[in-house]
Amino acid sequence: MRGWLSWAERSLSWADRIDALNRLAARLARWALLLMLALGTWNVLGRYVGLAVGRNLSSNALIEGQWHLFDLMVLLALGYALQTDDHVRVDVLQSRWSPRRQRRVELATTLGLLLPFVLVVLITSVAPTLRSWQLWEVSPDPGGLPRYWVKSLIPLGFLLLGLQGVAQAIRLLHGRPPTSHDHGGEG
Amino acid sequence: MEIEALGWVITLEPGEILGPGMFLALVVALLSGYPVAFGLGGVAVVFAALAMALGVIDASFLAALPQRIFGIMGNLTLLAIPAFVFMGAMLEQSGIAERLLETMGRLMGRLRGGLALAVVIVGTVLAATTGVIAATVTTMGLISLPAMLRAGYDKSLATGVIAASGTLGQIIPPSIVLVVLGDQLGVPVGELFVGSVIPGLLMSGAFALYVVVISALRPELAPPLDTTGLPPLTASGLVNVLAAPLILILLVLGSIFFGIATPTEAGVLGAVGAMALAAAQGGFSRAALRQVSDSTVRTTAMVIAILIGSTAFSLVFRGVGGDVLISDLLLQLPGGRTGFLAVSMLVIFALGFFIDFFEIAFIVVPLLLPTARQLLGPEGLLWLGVVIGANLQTSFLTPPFGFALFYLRGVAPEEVSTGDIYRGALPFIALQLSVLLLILFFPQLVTLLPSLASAAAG
Amino acid sequence: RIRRADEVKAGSALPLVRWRMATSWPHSLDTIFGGAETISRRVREMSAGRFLIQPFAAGELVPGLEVLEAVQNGSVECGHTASYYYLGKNPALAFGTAVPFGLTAQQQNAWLYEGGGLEAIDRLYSDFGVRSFPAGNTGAQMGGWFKRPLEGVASLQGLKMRIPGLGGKVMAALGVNVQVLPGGEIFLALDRGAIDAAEWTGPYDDEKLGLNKAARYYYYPGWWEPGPTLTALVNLQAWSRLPSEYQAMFAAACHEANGLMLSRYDALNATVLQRLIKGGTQLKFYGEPILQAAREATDQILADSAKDATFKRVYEQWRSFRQDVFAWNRVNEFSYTRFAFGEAKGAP
Ligand code: NA
Ligand code: NA
Repeated sequence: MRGWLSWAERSLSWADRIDALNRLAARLARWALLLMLALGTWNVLGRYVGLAVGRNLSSNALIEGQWHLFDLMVLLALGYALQTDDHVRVDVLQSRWSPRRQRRVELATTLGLLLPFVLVVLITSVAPTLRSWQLWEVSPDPGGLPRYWVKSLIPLGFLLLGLQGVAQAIRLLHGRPPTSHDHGGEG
Repeated sequence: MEIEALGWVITLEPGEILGPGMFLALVVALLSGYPVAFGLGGVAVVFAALAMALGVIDASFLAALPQRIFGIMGNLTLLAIPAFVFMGAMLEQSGIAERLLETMGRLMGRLRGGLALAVVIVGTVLAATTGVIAATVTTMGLISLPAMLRAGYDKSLATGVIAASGTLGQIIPPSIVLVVLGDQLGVPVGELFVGSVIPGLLMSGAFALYVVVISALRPELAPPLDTTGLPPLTASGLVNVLAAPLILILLVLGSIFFGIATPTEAGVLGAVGAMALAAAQGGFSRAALRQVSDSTVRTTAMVIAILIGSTAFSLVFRGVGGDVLISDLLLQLPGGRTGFLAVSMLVIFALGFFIDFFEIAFIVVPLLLPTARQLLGPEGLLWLGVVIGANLQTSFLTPPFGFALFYLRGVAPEEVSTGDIYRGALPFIALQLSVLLLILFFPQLVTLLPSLASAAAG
Repeated sequence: RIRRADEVKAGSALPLVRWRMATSWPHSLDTIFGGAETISRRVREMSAGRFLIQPFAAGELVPGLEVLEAVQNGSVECGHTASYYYLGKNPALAFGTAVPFGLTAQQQNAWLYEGGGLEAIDRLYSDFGVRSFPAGNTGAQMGGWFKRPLEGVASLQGLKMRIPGLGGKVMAALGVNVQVLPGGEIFLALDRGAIDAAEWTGPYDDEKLGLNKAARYYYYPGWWEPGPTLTALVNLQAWSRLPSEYQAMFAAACHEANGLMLSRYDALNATVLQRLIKGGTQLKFYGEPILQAAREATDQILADSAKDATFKRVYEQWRSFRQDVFAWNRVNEFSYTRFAFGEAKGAP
C-alpha cells in the first residue's frame, strides 16, 4: 500500500513536471510568434525601403525564416494546447456524462487515439530527420536556409504532445482531472 | 481478397470495407468528445494497422506521414492564420473591435438586430481580406461574440451569424480556397475571383436580410443596443471610433489591392497595425501582448493540429483505396449532367462534414475533373469551381462536424453550449443552400462578370 | 467485383503487381502529369493488366517536392518528378534536369542515354537507394512574364521575380530580388504587383495559370531551362523484386513518355503562343547583354559549386560533352534552323 502511494505521488509529480516543460515550450512559441510577425513586416517593408536605398533588404532566407518561426511556434505549442484544453472537441454527448464517466472515456481515448498517433508520427519521422542531418540538407531555392533543423521540429513537437498525453493519462488513472489547475501566470 | 465459388470469382477490394469503416469509426471517435485533431489521427493509425494486418499496405507506406506534415509546415499560405488570429485578438483585447461593433450597431439606428447586422458587414469586410476560414471565424468569434452576449443576444443567433459570416471569406475574393480550387481545376484564378463576386455578395446579402427579418419577427432574440446610459453618438466620436478599424482595413485590403503585399503578408501587416493602433489608443501593455500572443499560439496550434490529423486520415483513406471507391461511384452515375452534378454536390457536401477543405480539393476535385470536363465543357469548369466553393462553404457550417463550428467552439466562452452553436447554424445553412441552388440554376450569376471583364479587355 | 473464373485465370502467368507513383505535379498540369499517365498506361497495356501503376498528383500522397524522399523511404515504389527539386540534398542532381545555358532537349537525351549522363546521375541517386529513368521533357521553356519591359542588365537591379532553383541563383547574382512563392500565389502576386515578374514553364501552362492576364511582356528564351528532363524514380529494392519482364516494360514506357511529352509540348505551345499574341501579349527577347551577364554569372556559380568533389566529377564530364555536342550542332542544326526559321521570317 505504501509502495502504491509513493508511486502515485511520484507519477503525479512527473505529470506536473511535464506540464511545466510544455509551459516553457509555449513561452518559446510566443517569442517565435512575435519574431515571425516582426520578420514578416520587415519582408514587406524591406522590398520598398530596399528599392529606395538600392539594396536588397528582403530575401528568400528571410521569407523562409518566417515560416521556420511559424513551424517552431506551432509544434512547440501542440502539447501546451492540449494542456490548456484548446483542442476543439465535439462535446454533445460528453457534456451530459458524469465526471467519472468523462474521465474514463478521456483515459481510453488518450491511450487509444492520441498516444498511438503520436507514436506512429515519432517512429516515422525520426529516420528522415536523421537523413536530413546527415546530408546537411538545405533549401533548394536561392539564398534558402538549412532544412535539417526544421525537420527535427516534427519529432520534437510530437514528443512534447505525447508527454502531455502521458501526463494527462497519469492524472486520469489516479481519478483526477486531466490537467493541473495552475497554468498561466508565468511571464 | 478473391473468393472462388461455382466458377465465379468474387473480388472484394479491402477499400470497400475499410474506407467506409474509417468514416464510421471517425464518427464514434469524435462523439467520444476527444479532440477532433487526434480523433482523426488516431482513427487513421488504427485503420493503418488493420490494413497492414490485411496486407493492403506496407508499414513503409506510413513513412509518407511526416512528409505530409512537413508539407503543411511549408505551406506559406497558412502563415495567414496566426497573423489574422493575432489581429483579431489584439483588436478584442484593446477594445477597438468592441467599440467598432457597438458603434456600427448604434449606427444602424436603434434597429433591432443592429449588432448582428454589423457582424455581417464586418464579416464581409474581413472576408475581403482573407480566405482562411479558420482565421476569419476565430477572429470574428474573438471580436464580436462577447460584445453580442453582453448586449443580451440569443446565443444561437449570435453564434450562427458569426460562424456564417466567418465562412464568407471562402467565397468573397481574394480567397486562398479559390486559389487552390483554380489550381486543381486548371481554371485561371483571376476569373474564379471575378466569378465569385456576385455569389459572395448574394450570400452576405441573404444573411443581412435574414437578420433584419428575424429581429423584426422575434425582437427578443436580437435586442437593440441599450444606449440610454451612453453619451449620444457625435460625429467626431464616430470618426474617432471608426478611424482605427478603417485604417486597419485600408492597411490590409489596400496592401492587397494595390499590390504591396500578398494576402499572407497583408495579414502580418494587419497584426502589426493592430498593435500600433492599440498602442495609440492606450490599450497596449506587456500583459496585453502576452495575453494576445498566448491565445494566438494556442488557437494556431489547434487549427494546425486539425490539419495534421486530417492529413493522416486522408493518407490512410487513400492507402486502403477509399479514393478509388469514390471515383468508381462517380463514374457509374446515371442521369448525365444532372445526375453527375447532384451526386458530386452531395459527396462534397458530405465530405465537408469530416475533412478539411484542402483535403477535399485534393481528393474529390481531381476525381470529378475528367467527367466534369466531358459533361460541362471547359467553360463550365469556371462555374463548377464557384459552385464547389459555395457548396463547401455550406458544409463548413453543418453540425455535428462543421469545421467553422469547431473553430468557433474553440474561442467561445463556456456559457455558450455546443448545442447553441449547432442550432444557430441551421438557418444560415438553409440560406447558403438557397444561394447554392440559385447559382446552380442560373449560371449567369457566375459567368456574367467574367464575360463582361473579358469583353472589356478584348 | 464478380467475374468468371476462367477469365481471371487467363493471362495470369505473370504475377499481379500494383505500384503507387507519387508525382510532383497537379492534375491541372496535364502535359507534365501526362508523363506519369503514359508510363502507367503503357505498362498496363504491355502486361495485359497485370502490372498496374497508379499515379498520384502532388499532395495526394506526399507534397510535390517530397517525391524523392517518398521513393527512398519506400512509402511509394516509384515517382515522377524533376531531379533539380532535390539540389538541397545534392547540388549535382541539377544536371539531371537542366542547368542554365545547358543542353537542349535533344542534347540532354544524348547526354543521358549515350553520353554517360544517366550513369553519372544514377551514381548520385544510389546514395538514396533509388534509380532514375528520363521520362519527359518540356523543351526549351520561356523566360517569364514581366510587368514592365527590361532595359539592359541595370534594369534587373531590385526587380522582384518569382524564379526558383539555379536560374534564381543566377538572377540573384544579377541583382534580382528573387522570391519563391507557391504555385497558387503566383498569379495574385504578379497581378497585384507584389512581384514584378514570374516564370512558370511555357505558353500552354502559363496561360492556364492566367499569367498573361497579370503581365504583358513575355520574355524568351528561358535560358535557365533549355531542355529540362523530367525523371521517373524507382526504389532499388522494389526494382530488384520486379520480374525482369516488368522491368523491361517500365524502362520502355519511360522512354516513350520521354519522347511523347516533348512532342505534346511542342504542338500545344505552338498553338497557344499564337493565341497569346492575339490576346495582346508582347514577346520580348532578353537581349545579348543580359544573356552575356547571365552566362558569366552561371559559370561562376558552377565553378564555385565544383569545389565539391562530387559536383566537380559530374560537372566536368557534362561540360566536355556540352562542348562537343555544341560544336556538332552548330554545324548541322544551327546552320539549318538559323536559315529556315531563324531571324528572317519566323521571329515575331
Ligand atoms: Na476572401
Ligand atoms: Na520554368
